[in-house]
Amino acid sequence: MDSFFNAIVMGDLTHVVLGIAAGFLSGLIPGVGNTTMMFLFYPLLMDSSLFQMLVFYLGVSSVSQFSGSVIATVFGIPGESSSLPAVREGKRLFERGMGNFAISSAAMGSVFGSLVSTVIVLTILPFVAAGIMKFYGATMQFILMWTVTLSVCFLLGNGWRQNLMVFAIGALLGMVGEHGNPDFIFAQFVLPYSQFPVLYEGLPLFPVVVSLFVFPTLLQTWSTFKDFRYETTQDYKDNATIGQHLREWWKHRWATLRGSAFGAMVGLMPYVSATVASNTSYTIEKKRRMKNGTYREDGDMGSLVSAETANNSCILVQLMPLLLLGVPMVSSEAVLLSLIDSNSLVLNWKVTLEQGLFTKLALWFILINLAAIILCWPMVKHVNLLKKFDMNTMMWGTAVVLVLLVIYTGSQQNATWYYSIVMVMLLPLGYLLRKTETLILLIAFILQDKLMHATVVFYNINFG
Amino acid sequence: MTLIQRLGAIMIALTISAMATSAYAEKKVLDILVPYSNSGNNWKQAQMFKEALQSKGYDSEVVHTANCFANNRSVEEISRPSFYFLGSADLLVNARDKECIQKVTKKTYLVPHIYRSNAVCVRRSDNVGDNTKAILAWIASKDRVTIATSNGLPTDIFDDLGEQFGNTIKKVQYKGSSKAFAGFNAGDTDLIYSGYTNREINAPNLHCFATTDGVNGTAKFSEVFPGWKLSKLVFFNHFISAGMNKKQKKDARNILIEVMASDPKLSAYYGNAFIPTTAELEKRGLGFDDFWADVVAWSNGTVDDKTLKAWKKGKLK
Repeated sequence: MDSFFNAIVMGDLTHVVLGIAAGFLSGLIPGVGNTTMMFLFYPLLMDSSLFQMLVFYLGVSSVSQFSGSVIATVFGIPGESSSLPAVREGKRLFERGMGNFAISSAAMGSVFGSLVSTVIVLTILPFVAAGIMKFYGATMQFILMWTVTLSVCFLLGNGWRQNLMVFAIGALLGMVGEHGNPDFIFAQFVLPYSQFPVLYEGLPLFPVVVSLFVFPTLLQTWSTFKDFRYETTQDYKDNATIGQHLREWWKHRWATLRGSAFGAMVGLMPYVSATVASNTSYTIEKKRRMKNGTYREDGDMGSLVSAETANNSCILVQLMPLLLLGVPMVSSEAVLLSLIDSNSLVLNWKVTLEQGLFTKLALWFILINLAAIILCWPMVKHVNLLKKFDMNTMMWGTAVVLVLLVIYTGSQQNATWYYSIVMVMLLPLGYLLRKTETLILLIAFILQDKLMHATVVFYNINFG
Repeated sequence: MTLIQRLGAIMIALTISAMATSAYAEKKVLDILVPYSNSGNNWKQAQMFKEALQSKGYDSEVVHTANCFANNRSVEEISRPSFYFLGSADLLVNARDKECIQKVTKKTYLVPHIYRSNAVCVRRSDNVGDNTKAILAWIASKDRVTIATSNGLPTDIFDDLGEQFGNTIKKVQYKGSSKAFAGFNAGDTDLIYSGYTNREINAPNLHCFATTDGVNGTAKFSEVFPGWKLSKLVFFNHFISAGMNKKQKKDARNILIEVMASDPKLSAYYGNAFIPTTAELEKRGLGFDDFWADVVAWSNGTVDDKTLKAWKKGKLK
């Protein structure tokens, strides 16, 4: 019993704590984000179980929202596009001395949102699972994979033409090697497979991502934030009691409820769910309050709480397609999926239902959100320490760590040279793509195999 | 404690630790390579073998090599004694269609693994009924019939089957048998052609009306599909070694025969699906030559003698 406790519970707990820490960091450093953070922890997760990977991911995605809103409120910078309402309202609230309440109300709203989405997900899960068992065939897979593909090409980035080009580059790189359906070897007469048989196994994810996603992202972030300092006109202070914080949040309980419900509703939108949940919930709440005459131009707590609750509420919902169908709905989930694949693990409705993953994850999801408040709130008091850090150092420090991780993961696979060469050879392409949305490339690289499989099967059934 | 007592204690400790180390060093190693998907029957069997070998005191791990090329690379670089399952159809498809040859020589061959019938099944929810004649009439009533299969089967496997029914039979290939199974259950195709395992036998919505050898009261392919040239084919899998010397090969052979016969999980997995295994296959005198005879059978006359000779040496041409 003791060994079971140590192996299972403590193993899971360690991953939760690591996930919370990673999520906290992810929100604090603008431009790094959950996707890069997943890569930073990739080597640590290489021997983890499926459930441990999932709870780690839940920790990252939930807590980054929390720390992201702290940075947005105190320093006025958006960690992610879903933090824009926090920048607008949180910053104003901070400037009129209400920053502590803005942060606590957003955090408490997020916990409430996680409870609401858990109830919604657990209620609809049996019906969704039954539907998948019966109807998730080739046509559904084809529609879903192409919806995801078109969503990333038309909803993200700088225009669909450029996005399609970036998607094609990612897909072509992903196709290097041998494929099982249809059976073929990509560009057999162009690529030097016989000289480098390792190419048959495809390009390794980690160096590709570092060169073509992280490197251009860091270049973009550097050009946006190169002169940025963690500076404010005033220091963050919090002298309020817990009772006062709770009372402040309670005033906005209905905004919390509306945000929770809206977040859970839009959680299934591919790749933009958190942004849409947060920004639309904010707009709706703001309009409502303007109509009622309760909206405050110098920082509106109700609109902020609604937006922050919505983006946390959608996290568990957006995990459903991944857990049930193996289809990621955000880029960090795509990284998680690649990690699951590289560990030779399988994630689909059958595994999820057989192992009771959803129920266990839902429980952890609530605990993680509670832990985010209990563990991270005291740390918010020290947010002024960030002023001592230099943004450039943090960004380039991240880059150096990732390069070292490429070498490390390569050595784990007995392919240090291969990993290093792939990374170096792709860096110039990464530089050329620095002004594009390379998230699309990452998604294409990871999903091309599933997209191709779904398309070929659909074609063969209906037309072949 | 005197100095002599201390030295004595240290000597005892060192002896115990040396014994423990040598015991560890003597722990036999046997890994399982899986050059297939990580969700189908091969993966499931590999996991069962790992557990069975570990229960016999072996240090055993499953290594997912995923495809023929990666498997060959692993075989060349491997430092731990390993084995993998290989069917004649897999070798044929890999060599002919992908130009990836797996070395099946007397040096690498271990023992036969299983001799599993293939099955053709319908969905009960299609209300075709249990009667074989009715099912055949239903197939004939369609202009185009789709059959779900896993990958690793020859492209032309159903080419002559349509002649019997006067229609077109279309093979729909999935990446792995479990994906084919899930797709068929969701209504993708009219029929499924798959290995006859517990999964097929116990699925409530599946009715496997015919199998290669007519096992478990099913009709024989040769009776139901008399014009089909490939109706006699089975999944005839074999154990192929990697990274082993002669002694290790002998050990591996013995332990594989033993676990196939005595491990409760493996016995149940094969026994419940009417699959003859190693001991029975050896009793029938099947082995290395039969593997290659089966490759010829699966090729349906498309592989000439010269090519086959090269393949037997582990070369493409």
